[in-house]
Amino acid sequence: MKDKIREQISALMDGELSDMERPLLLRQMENDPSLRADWERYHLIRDALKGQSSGFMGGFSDRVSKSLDEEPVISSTRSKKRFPTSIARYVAGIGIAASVATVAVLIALPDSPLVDNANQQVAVSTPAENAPQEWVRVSGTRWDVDQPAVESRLNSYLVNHNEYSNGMQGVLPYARIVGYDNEQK
Amino acid sequence: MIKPLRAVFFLSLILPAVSWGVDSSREAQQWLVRMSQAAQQLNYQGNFIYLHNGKLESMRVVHKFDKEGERERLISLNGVAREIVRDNSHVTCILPDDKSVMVDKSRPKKLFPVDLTSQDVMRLSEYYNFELAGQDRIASRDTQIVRVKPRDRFRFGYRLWLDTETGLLLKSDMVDENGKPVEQIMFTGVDFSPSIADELLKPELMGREYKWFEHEKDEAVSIETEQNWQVASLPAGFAMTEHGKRMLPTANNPVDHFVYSDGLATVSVYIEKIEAQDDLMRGLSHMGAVHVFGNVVNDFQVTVVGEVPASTVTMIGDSVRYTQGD
Repeated sequence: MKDKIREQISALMDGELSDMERPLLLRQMENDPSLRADWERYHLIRDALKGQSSGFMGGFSDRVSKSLDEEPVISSTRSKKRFPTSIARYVAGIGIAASVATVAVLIALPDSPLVDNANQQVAVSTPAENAPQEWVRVSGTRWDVDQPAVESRLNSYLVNHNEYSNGMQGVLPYARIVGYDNEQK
Repeated sequence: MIKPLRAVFFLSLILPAVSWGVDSSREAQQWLVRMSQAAQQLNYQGNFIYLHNGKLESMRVVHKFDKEGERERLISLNGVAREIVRDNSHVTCILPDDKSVMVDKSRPKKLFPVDLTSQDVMRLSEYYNFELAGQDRIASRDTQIVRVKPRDRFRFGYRLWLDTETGLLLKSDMVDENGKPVEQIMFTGVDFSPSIADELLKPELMGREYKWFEHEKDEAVSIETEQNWQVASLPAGFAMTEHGKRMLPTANNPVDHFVYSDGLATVSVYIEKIEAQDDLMRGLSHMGAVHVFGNVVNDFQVTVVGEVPASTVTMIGDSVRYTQGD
């Protein structure tokens, strides 16, 4: 399993990873420090092979270890700064199809201002959002549950479920999601 | 030589009175065939209201069908301007109040089986009673009313008002086990112009500053054959129609998904590894007629979702077992 992921990381470096595989890999890298370490190591190896001084890696190693030190390993209040920004810059710079890159980067970096540089079309953050945020945050109370994470999960289950249920209800399945009142409770 | 069609014709002459009940049921089912085809294949736009728990919402729907397939957009007309855009590949939910955009794969709409003599429809008649219930006028159009009554308390019933000319569902009541409406929708105006401009299907709000939840890779997650999960009790008539692993927009891990259906009602069972204890859900919740039941089995979150009574999701959710080995 790990080997396969490492192959994918290598493909990502070479800009050869398929559009299908990229988002999942980025998410795995985001969650797994050892994969990010692999990413770094591969760059060192490649640069060494090419006889280049590692311009890309300047200070990167330090930043990675620093960010790893700071990082609570997958905490429940998922801190947003989990993904070394250089990776995203690199990924975005590979020259992959803009739309796919956008999706990938947005997933990896829900709040990073970096995306502004990487892709003019997308502005992901506003300065006011610097406070730590839940990965999943839902202000609505459409389900009668207290936990925002549960609420979001139920929403995504419902959307998925709608696609499997049959057409007896016409517009109703999505009317529930679009129209449900916020002040429900 | 007697041609089969002619035989049917003679039979229908001989047995009109006897077979009236059967005919009404058959005719009601024919209306449902029309209804499900209309929902998929018509070009239309209209405003409708949605009533649930004493709350009233209004929405607009735009639906287009051409050689590129089906496209649909749903917009909330009051309160927060939520939107859903759905096409052949994706369903995109734009939720301004959550500052989030959720994208999932879409699937072709399921149609009511055209062959009313098929096993599927025969089986349906064991659990539901279908009948025509007169005519009415909705959104200044003539409609045919079809009533679908469950024969037990494990599923909801429907009263459906179908446009006489096109078959489109213009009003619908979902009725609980006590005969009370749980959710109602009703068009207040509908327009069947044959061409729908593409602009009408573009979302007004593009979630620039929004968080996106999306997995590009969905079904590609391998469907493992080892079945570690077992649903021990289901209401009569429900059978598993699908099983797969999904990458859902808000999930970090692949989610096991089992789909059960009695032909009309559908129940999903989602099984997901949840890392944070605080994010587990136990017991019942609901959104309109959709009930969910959460259970925790072997450190996995089991969630049952369906447009069925609370007792049905509870029964199913309580019976999920993890079976060791093979």
